[in-house]
Amino acid sequence: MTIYFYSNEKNQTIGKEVIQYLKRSGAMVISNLLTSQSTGDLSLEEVDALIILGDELDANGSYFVAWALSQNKHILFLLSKQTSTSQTLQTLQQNKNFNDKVNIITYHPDNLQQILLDFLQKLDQDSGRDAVNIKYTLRLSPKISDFLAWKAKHDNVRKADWLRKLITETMQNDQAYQQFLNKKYKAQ
Amino acid sequence: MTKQKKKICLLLAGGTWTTTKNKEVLSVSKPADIEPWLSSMSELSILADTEVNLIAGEDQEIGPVVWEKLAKFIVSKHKNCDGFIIVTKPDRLVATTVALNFLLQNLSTTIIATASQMSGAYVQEKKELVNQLLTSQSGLGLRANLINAIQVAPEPMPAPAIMFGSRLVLGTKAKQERQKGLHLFTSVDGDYLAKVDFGITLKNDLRYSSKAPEIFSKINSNILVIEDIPNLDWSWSDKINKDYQAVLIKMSSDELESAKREQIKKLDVPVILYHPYYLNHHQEAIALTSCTWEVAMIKTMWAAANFTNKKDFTNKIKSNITGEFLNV
Repeated sequence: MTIYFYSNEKNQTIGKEVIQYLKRSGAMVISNLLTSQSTGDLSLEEVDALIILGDELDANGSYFVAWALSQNKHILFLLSKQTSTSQTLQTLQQNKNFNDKVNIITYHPDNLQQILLDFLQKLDQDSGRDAVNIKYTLRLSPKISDFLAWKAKHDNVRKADWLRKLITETMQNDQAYQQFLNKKYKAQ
Repeated sequence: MTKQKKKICLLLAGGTWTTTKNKEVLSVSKPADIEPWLSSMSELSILADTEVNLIAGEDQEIGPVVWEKLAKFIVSKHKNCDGFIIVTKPDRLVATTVALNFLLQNLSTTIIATASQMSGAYVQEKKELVNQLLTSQSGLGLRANLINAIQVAPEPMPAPAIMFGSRLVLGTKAKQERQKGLHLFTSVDGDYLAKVDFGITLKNDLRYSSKAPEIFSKINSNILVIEDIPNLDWSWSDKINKDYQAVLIKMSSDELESAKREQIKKLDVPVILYHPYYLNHHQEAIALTSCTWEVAMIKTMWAAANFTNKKDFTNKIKSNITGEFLNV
């Protein structure tokens, strides 16, 4: 899972903690706080969600929010103050197109990790993660290829559909993996 | 979380196709289309206060009449807006940006042009193409292009520019390409004003003109455009001097054949020979090089519309008016 984390807090201590928590949970983090980072071929479109830290939404923060909403991505706003007077945030919460994607939460240093883990878990369960949109190139031996061609014809299914079903069933029946998933987003 | 929102004027002239969450195509052809179109992209309101104005619908031809209308509108509103975004048809994007470059010279207001991947009045006819783009690109691109355009519109820019995909390029350097059925706008010399990856990074050493603004209201003129092919004779009517204000010849070599030179000598209207890189000296014509074909065409139209005196016309064509000449 890839997260874009944007912070405009002058004090970078909390921001660095957020990055640590996310990385420890297995997420890939791209952030304006990380001065030397290799994003390779990644682009904003491939990011799964946006996390914004800061009580002030500056021009760059607004840009990332608008971009994330245009791509139907989840956003977590982390506020240090209980009440926000931001017109933008109020609008976002009230807009029926966005309110299921926008999460606005006031954090304390002692519950920050749990907020992040809950958010990651929510992302993991999002129906968007069931979408078949990752291209995968697989090299097969001629024997396996022959079997796959025969199986597809015999069962009248597409090779890719049959493979996907097989992997899904294996995943669901794998006890060790299911245990790993249960622990994945729990505070360590 | 509070901030001062910028005011951006959005001028629509085709190229407005966008899709809703239900994959319905929305576009703007009449004023009543604006509200649902803008509501489908409500994330734009996070970035700026946008004032939307319809200049031309999807069913209209985008040419000199629309360009003059756009320029007039910008001049009348530029003191009240932090920047202008023109949305127009992708195949008219470069010409529109270059036209505004010549009409509104050295205007300090930023003008960014952008487009959807698709345009036109007949959605049904292109439904299959739309579905292909929705599958391969997750949309028609306008939403992201507008977000990027709004982000840079309040920034000072050297001249009207095109924001499309992940690049911001000066209109005078832009070249339209097609790749896998998609529109793409590249810079002829590889120079970009900004690139978009994780945020928008503007080029460090942007150069701004120190000249005073010069506003022109006319660009509509009759130009005869000829694509010269060596060994293929020209035949034209005797009415050229009456029907056209200038003749623009796109050269495929650096030398014009002697018979064609004789034909040019008989014309009263100015004749421009264009080649992107180099031309030999031809006394009977004005040589125009080191610029894009779109610049050559639009500059000729602009000069013909505003300078009837042949000497003035020649001077304007030869001068680097807005930095349109490339170091090639």
